Amino acid sequence: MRKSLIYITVCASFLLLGACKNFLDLEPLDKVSKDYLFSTPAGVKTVLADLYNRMPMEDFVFHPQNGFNQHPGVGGNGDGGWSLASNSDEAVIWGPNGYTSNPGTDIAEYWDYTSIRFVNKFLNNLIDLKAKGSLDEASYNQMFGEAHFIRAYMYFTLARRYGGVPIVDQEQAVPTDIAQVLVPRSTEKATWDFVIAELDLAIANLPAARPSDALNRATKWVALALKSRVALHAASVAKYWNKAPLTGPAVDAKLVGMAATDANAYYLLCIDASKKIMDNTSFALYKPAPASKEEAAKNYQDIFESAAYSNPEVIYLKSYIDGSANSGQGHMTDFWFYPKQLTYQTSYMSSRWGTTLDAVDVFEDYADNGVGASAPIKTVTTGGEGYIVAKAGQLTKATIAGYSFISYDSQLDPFKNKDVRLTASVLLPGSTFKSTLINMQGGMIKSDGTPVIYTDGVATGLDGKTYYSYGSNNISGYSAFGALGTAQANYSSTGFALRKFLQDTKAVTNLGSFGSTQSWIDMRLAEVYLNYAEAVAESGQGDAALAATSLNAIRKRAAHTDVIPLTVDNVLKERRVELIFEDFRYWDLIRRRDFHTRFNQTRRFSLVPLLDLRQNPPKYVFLRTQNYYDDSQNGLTFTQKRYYRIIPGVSVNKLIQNPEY
Amino acid sequence: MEKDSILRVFSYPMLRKIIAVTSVVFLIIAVGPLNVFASAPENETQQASISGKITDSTTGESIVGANILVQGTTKGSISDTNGAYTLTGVDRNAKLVFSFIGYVTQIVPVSGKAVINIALDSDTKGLEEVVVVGYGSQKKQTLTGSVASVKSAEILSTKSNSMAAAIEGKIPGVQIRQQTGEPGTFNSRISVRGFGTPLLVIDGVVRDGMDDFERLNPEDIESVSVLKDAAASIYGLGAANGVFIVTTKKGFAGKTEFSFNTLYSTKTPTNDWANVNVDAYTMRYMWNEMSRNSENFANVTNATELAKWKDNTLPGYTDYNWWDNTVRKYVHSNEMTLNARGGNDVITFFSSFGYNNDGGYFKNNELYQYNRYTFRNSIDAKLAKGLKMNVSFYGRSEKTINPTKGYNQWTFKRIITNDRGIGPYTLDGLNHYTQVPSENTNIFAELSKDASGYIDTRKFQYQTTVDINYEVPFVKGLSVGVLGAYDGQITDARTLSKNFILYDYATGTPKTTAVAPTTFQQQLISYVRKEVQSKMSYKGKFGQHSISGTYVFQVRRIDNNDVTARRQYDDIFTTAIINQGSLTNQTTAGFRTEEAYLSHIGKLNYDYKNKYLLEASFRRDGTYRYAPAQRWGNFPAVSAGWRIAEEPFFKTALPMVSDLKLRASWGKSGRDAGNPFQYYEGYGFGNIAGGFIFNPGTLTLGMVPPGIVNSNLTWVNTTTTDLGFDLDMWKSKLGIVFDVFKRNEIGLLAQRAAALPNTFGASYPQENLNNQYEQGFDMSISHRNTIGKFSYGITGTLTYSRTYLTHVERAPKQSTWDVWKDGSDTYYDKGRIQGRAFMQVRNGIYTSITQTATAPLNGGNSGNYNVLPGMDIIEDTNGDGVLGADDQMPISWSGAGTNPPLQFGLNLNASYKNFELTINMAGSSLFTMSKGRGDQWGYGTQYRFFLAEYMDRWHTTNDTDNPYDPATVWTPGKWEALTVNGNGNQTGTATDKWRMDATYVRLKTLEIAYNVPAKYAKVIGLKSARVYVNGYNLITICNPFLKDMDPERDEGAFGAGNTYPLMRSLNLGLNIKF
Repeated sequence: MRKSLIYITVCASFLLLGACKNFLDLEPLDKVSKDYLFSTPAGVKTVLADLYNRMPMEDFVFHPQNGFNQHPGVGGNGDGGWSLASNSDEAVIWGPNGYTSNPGTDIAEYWDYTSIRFVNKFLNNLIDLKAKGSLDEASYNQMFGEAHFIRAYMYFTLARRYGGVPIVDQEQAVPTDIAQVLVPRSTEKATWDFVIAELDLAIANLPAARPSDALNRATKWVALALKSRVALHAASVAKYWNKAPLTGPAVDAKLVGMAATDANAYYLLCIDASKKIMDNTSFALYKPAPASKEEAAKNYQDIFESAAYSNPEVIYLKSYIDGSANSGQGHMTDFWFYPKQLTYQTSYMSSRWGTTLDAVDVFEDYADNGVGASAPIKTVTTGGEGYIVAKAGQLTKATIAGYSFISYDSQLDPFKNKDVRLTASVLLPGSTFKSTLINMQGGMIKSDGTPVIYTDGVATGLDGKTYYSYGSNNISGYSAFGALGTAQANYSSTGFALRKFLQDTKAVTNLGSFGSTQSWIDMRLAEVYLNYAEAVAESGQGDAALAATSLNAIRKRAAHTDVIPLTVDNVLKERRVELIFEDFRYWDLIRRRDFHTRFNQTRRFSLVPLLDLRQNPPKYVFLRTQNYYDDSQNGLTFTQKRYYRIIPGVSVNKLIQNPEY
Repeated sequence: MEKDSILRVFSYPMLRKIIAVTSVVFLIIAVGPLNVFASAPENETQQASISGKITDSTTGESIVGANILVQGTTKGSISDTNGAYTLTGVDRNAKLVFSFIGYVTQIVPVSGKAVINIALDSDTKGLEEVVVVGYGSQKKQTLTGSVASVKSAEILSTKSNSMAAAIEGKIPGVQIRQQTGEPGTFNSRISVRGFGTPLLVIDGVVRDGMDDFERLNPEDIESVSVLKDAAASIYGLGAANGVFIVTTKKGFAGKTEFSFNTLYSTKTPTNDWANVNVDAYTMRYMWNEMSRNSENFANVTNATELAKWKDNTLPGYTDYNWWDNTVRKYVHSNEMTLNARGGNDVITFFSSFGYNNDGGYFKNNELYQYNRYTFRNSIDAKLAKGLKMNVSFYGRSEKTINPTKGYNQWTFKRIITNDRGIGPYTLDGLNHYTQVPSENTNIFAELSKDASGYIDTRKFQYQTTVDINYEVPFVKGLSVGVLGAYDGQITDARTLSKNFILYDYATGTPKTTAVAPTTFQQQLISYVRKEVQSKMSYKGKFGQHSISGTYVFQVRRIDNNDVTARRQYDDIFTTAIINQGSLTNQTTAGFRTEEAYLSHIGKLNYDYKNKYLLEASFRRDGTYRYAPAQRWGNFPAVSAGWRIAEEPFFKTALPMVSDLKLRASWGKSGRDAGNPFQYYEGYGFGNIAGGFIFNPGTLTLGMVPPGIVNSNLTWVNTTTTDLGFDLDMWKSKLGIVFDVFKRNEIGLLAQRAAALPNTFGASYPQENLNNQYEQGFDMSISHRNTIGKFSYGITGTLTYSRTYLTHVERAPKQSTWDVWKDGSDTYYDKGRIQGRAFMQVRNGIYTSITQTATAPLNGGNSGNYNVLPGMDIIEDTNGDGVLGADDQMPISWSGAGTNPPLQFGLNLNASYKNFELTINMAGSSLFTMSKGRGDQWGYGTQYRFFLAEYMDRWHTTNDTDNPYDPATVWTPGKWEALTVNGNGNQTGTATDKWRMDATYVRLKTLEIAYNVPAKYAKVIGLKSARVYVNGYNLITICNPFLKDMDPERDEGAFGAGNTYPLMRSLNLGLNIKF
């Protein structure tokens, strides 16, 4: 026994020594090696998933103030349902945190070179894998194309915010001296050209058909649609730069700004890219020939409520899954934008969205005349619609008496003959949403002519009945103008709300828990038509007849029967109507340099339905007024320097700063 | 032959049996058989009886209850009340073993004698003490490093369920501060010389650190050694902050001795909060006054209302004392330990079972409860000649129940700041929970399991060790051995979260409409640690040269697991079983980690004539954490000692010096730094938000590429230098141990100050960039004496340690002020000294409103705002007319965020006849504590007025006068006028008025014990009995303004001192042996 014990003791030592050769070579359990990850298609997909997720898409989880992919818990729609529309003249958003601000001032920075580094690394990995022979040609080409598409998306996002930026297209090695990794800004033109070149690589390598098991991977057509958007933006900047010129070292070095002579080349790129998509017969407008206005309205609403690739108009979309079951996913569009009347029970936060009267007025009516003129809402019988009440809440009996209001039987009456896309996009006063009559009443005129506006009040009408200034004696009975300026102001401040993306016919589960899952349509054919039409109208290049047909095809789908001529103004007006709330208006104002003239101590407008108790039975009259919040900020102004954003970190990256920062 | 026969009787079936003794139940059953063996039939060559008397060699007093054992048998006896013993039938060639705890065991051959009187030497002489050190033990006199130790008796003199409290103030160089008295929360700050949290070694194996240490049952501990200098280097990579070595009790040869200790405690908080929750009327009166003083505030409660509050009878206008209705006056806790020690010269054992219950402080006593069971078994067996084995098992089971909402500081804050005008239940008779300002919740609901749920945390920990040693027969002094340890812990945390609706006190209307669903969460955390040591050691003496050496090869592996599952209950909560919940919104989470370490350890000791001492050690550690090129580290250490008192010239010159040893040491060690695997180029698992939906309905989780891969990261290197001496004069009448030390830390983690450009797409990882050092001294002075029947000992300890920053990676300083304040290497000469606080300088107080007109502006351009009499005049030290952060000067000490630089203790033991007295004091200095105004004091917020202090405040003599009228007459007081904390007044300014010196001395322990005389004890069948009363945290001497804070406790968030209070306890204890 003794001997065996000695043996065990001594041998144990040496055995352990031998066995311990690789004892310390543990692998981390929370990391996976590149080789393993790229050895299977499923592994590659996970890497791609991260890159696709980094694509800066201005979708339902884009928060203009906080940035992209603002999922639950990190801002996003969880921070009050902000949208790019409210930073333009489409909508006013107010919440307890007071989000109304000058356009362009609190748009989140996007300087995501970390994601760009990851794409660069991915490209290196691909090359490495191909060299090893572990990737087939088709997979390689597809992923190569995807990487360039994603990188194009990233640089596009940079270019339209900052102008020329440093182009880092290789994964930089850790330097011994920081100077080794300093990359200067490229000119704005070179940057746009880089985005175009990236897209060309993507177009050349991406497959034409959507992979059946991964519909949301990019295709050649998706890249072409992005190219159409990118080229139009670049062309517009070149053409209209001089409408808001800037000065300074960044301008001298052409880091911002382009020559007007460059415009036509970009317009042509837009025309060519758009044309390729228009020629592809697998894309078509959704139900292009409706039988009635009602059908047209439903068709248009369906595009967004049931966004899917089964709709031939959809080129690219982003999907969501229910965030109430998958914490970190889903979005809160329904939660934030449902009218107050529907959400008061779930939470005090709702109805943050007030569509402006400015946007509503742009829509045509069906008195089709071959001109395509907008048809502003009619509120008065004499003096035209040019009047604006500065402060509705301060109106007196005398001033009210001075208005020759048109009396309507219902809140919805003034909108009866408007373009169906208005009813499908905007929740109008007196409309029905989810079986609830949406009441937007903002006040009343007592039978003696005294107005009660923006405040609770009770009065007796000529008919002897009791009426309330908000149309209800219960805070759950109205959706607009309540508690203005306070933390409880979860009501529309304009008299209109949002309808476009809301789930009307479908139920939303877990309204407050990121339970919205409707897809975001990032690219659809209507935009391509309009890009084409604008590029043709602006440059005289391309097929003018085709452009006019495309423009009218969109109107026809909305039940218009006349044909309007191809003019820049007609195209732009159509963009405002067809693409309303789809994050185009903000960038259209930017690229065409219209922002600083559109917003110069500007108050956006509200339409206040008032119940006129001077009549028996009482009727509705409507008041055009400055939006309460815009007015309390003394109007909103876009300063010229905001066409470009401040370059972050110049003390370290040694970049030339943008003008006036 | 004799051995064989005993082995037969006591052989392996018995061994197995003893190994199976893992619970006290079995142990009690085992008493019978042991006693049977003790009186086994005598069948050997016998001789007539032996008798004698056992006495103390110094006092000559008889020793009662000493063990007398015939070596190699279980036969024995115990000395009686006169110290006399008798044994019959002992072999004439046998040897007798005389032993008694606290005395040196003696073995005497019978050699045919009939009377053997023995004088036992007390083994508290110190110099002969054996001290456990890294990978071995050493006689104290030949130690060359700075090693302090504390033995069982000293540990047990403090009664607390925390080991940290039990050694506080007793070991020089060890800094300990309790932070909370919350049951089951053991988070004392423990540091060796201000270095940080030390390493914990229990019975030769690195265990779980200070958390584990604090939870040990003090009754199980034989000794605690603290390696403070290069002596720690032998633990290599883990040893940078010093090492605690705990040795647990082992068995001894002799008749089985049972010891039963029980202790009952009554506790009250050390701080006085009784006057904090101010009554409803006074709060409103003061609130009005504060509003008046704050200009733009109107009277909050008008005169009519105020009169109703004063009247205190109308419904809705009565005072409700939240404090008295929420907390108990006394908290109760109890402890007991039963242990047994015994064995013969083949097998010895120690078995212990302990129980501790720490009760909650709240009237609803279901929450804040702690229960602990510990059991420990240690068995030593001689398996064959030269072959010894120790098997030990330690188990600990704990349970705490805490509320799910309102953890301690919020709990207390709520009670203190609750509006006493609002009662806990609605006035409408429906008894709904009310919403109570200022925290707008209801503490009754939060402390109710039914209303808000609970967090029930159970921990089970086990540590097993098998240690086999073999003395190689052919080479004298050489032994080899293997030690294996297998430890683990399982934490099971069950959280039931319920939600409740709060109602308006007066109207009974609900304040919220919806109640979030009840959820139940269970988290299971487990780890397993395996360690094997292969050991070889040699000990030899060649003439006057003594040499010993040790080599150990050590392998260590740790696996961690963590799984959490959560479900919600839709309609009704059924039971706390995860399966009972609904599948809606269920969540799971989990992770695992693994660790591996390899070490080679070598140590060499040499001494010549016990006079010239030398020790050298070496350790080579490998860790899984870093890149292969960075993972191996070498940690050498060397130390030397000279027992100068042994030199003949010294003995002649200074005969009163019994011992003097000069010591010097230098050693290198390290500290694991940074997250593991930073060198590994791997993709990380993204979170759900990082995924992408390729196909509608299906989420693909994204794998995130690595940032900068960091293969240069390595541990922090530390070197420790120590110079010291041990002095003993007049045979222990004066003992001094003194050490000066310096520890350098090289390569603390930091990010490079020069950042990469933001176009690079990644930032620099952490690197080993920063350097600092700690420097100071520690000492102890002791005195021991015996005068007749009165003997006593007194020991004082003192530690002073400061931290100096020598390199801190940081951006270049922008101004000379910045350079002076925190950037310069010339500030305090060498390095930037830590521990000083910058504050505004006070220079008197404003006594009239007119003075403020010419005062420097406190609110910058917005001027002075609500500056009132009684407020401090703040010095504009830079003379720019504006008061700001750049007027601050380093006038005071920082808070006790880490341990204060100066800590001290005083221990006194005295005994007279059967009485014993123990006094233990501890204290700290050179730190400050803040009393946050805004959050707790009346300045800034209503609801919060400390009544006693505010009775002595500046206020307008007539309470309707305008405070801003220069003609208004003021009544002066100690404290400033009440105002809302504003930008332009001094209420929010950091001064030493609010962050005050927190130096304290605390009487930690006062114990008076009575040892029942053995003759009486014997009457009731006991070997000995000791009863005692013990007071813990009895008296605190500190700035009286801190009396409701407790200067030892954690300062807590907002400087509000709202954390769970430390407890003052009165303990009644009994210790019996049988």
